[in-house]
Amino acid sequence: MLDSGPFLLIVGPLAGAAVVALVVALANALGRWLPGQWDRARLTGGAGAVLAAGLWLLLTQAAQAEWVVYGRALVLDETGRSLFLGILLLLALLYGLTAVWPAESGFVTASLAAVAPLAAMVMIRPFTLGALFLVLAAAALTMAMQSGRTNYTGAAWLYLVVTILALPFFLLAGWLAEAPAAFPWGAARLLAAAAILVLGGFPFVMWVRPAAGAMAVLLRPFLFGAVQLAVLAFLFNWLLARPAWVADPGFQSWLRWSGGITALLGGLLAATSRDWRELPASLLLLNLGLGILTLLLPGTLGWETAVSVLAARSLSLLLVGVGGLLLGSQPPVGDLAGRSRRVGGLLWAYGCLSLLGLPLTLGFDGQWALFSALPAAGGGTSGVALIGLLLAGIAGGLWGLGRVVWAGAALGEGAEARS
Amino acid sequence: MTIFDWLDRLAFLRGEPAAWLAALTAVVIVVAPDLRLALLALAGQYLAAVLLFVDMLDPRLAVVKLLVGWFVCLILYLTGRQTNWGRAPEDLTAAEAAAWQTPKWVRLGRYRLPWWALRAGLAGFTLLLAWWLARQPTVYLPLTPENLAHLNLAVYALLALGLLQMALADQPLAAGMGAFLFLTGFTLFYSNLDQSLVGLALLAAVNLAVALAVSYLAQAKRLRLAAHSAIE
Repeated sequence: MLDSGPFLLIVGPLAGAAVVALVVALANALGRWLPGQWDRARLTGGAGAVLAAGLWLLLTQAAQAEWVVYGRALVLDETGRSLFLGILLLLALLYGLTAVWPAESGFVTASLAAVAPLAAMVMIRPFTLGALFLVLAAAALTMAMQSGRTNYTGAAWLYLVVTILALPFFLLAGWLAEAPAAFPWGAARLLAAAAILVLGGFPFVMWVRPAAGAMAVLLRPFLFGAVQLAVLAFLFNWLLARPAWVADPGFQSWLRWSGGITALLGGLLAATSRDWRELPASLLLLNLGLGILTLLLPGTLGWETAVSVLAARSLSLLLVGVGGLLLGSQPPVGDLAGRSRRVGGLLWAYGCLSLLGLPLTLGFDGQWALFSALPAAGGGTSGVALIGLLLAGIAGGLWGLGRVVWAGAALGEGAEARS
Repeated sequence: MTIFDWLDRLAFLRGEPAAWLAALTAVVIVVAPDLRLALLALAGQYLAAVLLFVDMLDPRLAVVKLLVGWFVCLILYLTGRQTNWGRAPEDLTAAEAAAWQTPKWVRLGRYRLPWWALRAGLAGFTLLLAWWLARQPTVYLPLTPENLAHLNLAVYALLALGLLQMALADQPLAAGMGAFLFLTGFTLFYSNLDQSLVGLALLAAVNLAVALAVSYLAQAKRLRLAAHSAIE
């Protein structure tokens, strides 16, 4: 069975999460005899990194692409395999980093377990059942968001709630796809509503900034990058099978305005942001809007653009997170004492610019592809208005970033003058 | 006693009475001042829902839904016991404990209303709205047979009261009960459309996973209280 990709992706992460939990429990039991540096948090991160890397290696060797369970097929095509190879590699990297910053390691077990339902969501046929796996993944991710955090539980709860609220829309869209019937909304519109809910689009953005602020910084690249990419893969599975849905005017206009307003809102919130620690969450909101808009693009172009935007988002959030950890409580500019803090400031600023998708950053490729393809995706005047919204959002984000950097620099000069 | 014998004994509750029972237990969940009472109402609501499910599903499958629902209640009960039902730890001072408690009064302009009265008012209004919607032919649930018209009331009431509870509750356990009301309401409608075994099993798994996540959040909130208390 180990050469079956679907089997490996369903059973592997769950078994891996159990192994990490056992290793930690064993370390707790043997705590007295272990050397001082073998603390529980580092062990968790290290075990998680080894297991994620091991799963990645096994997945590269997997030959079988189909697994039938109780009459339902789990199909791992080349796109799915590449997606989960990328996700496992990202997890191995993130878990490895928790060995350096052990306080961040709380999310390891639950996030590794979440890979199994995410994989099932992408692989299961018919697609409708994937929505139920998405809620299972959300339950595990809720625990990952809250792990190691004994503060505000509202953000993790809101994330779970929006996923639960999306479930009826997904299931009804799937049912309507199989058995067309008179229904107040068409299947395409139901799918658009579900997509807006799970991708954090306007008006359901309330969980994004609190969640980004409250969770472990090393979890952000996974939750807002890799998990959202898996959700987009699930959505594109439907859209590639039913191209007419993409052309539905309701689907187009709902996603267009939701994505555009989300990006604009992110830009406006960034422009009014006064704290450098809060700024990335607003820039992330802006970037979430771009992710939603990729669903408007037809066929494989949409999926390729989504991969480009979301992969860049993951890496940008990773840079922002690592930069923030290196900086500690110091702002990213001004009087940065020590090499690691200077590097941290640079990584943080580059990550923020990359979330904005400016030229010479990681985010530029995807953003350029999206901007080039959006006018051709239809909409006429509203297409132009959409580009205007996006540019206004990016300008707001840039203004906010500039203001935070300027304020930090002024603070640094003040401190230098005082000394 | 078989499942069918039990269903015969409860025949007087089948149909419209079960729909009202489901709606009224949902109101109790929203209004109840104590989580233990709300949990009891949730257990009763699962029983009422099963009496509605048997009109659409094989009774043996419907009973599985009851078992899953009561298992969810068991998970919530154990969590409630472990977290002292969301109450603040005893070693907090009165001022600290007050900060963790739900406010007893709500100010609406010049007026001060008891919080429970506001909840009761909103729950009553929502129930009336659901009842009114259920009687409107224009919003009749699509593809629901005429002999199951009472499903309209149950589905609308559970969905609306579930959303209301999720919006009003400040404790993970209480808010979680709102999520379960919502899920049951939707499942009542969806079971009429799709009766596949895999879908049923996955919906059961979803209920259990959400119960675990809610329990985890309730424990995390309790840890926060404990940490706060330790710092003080």
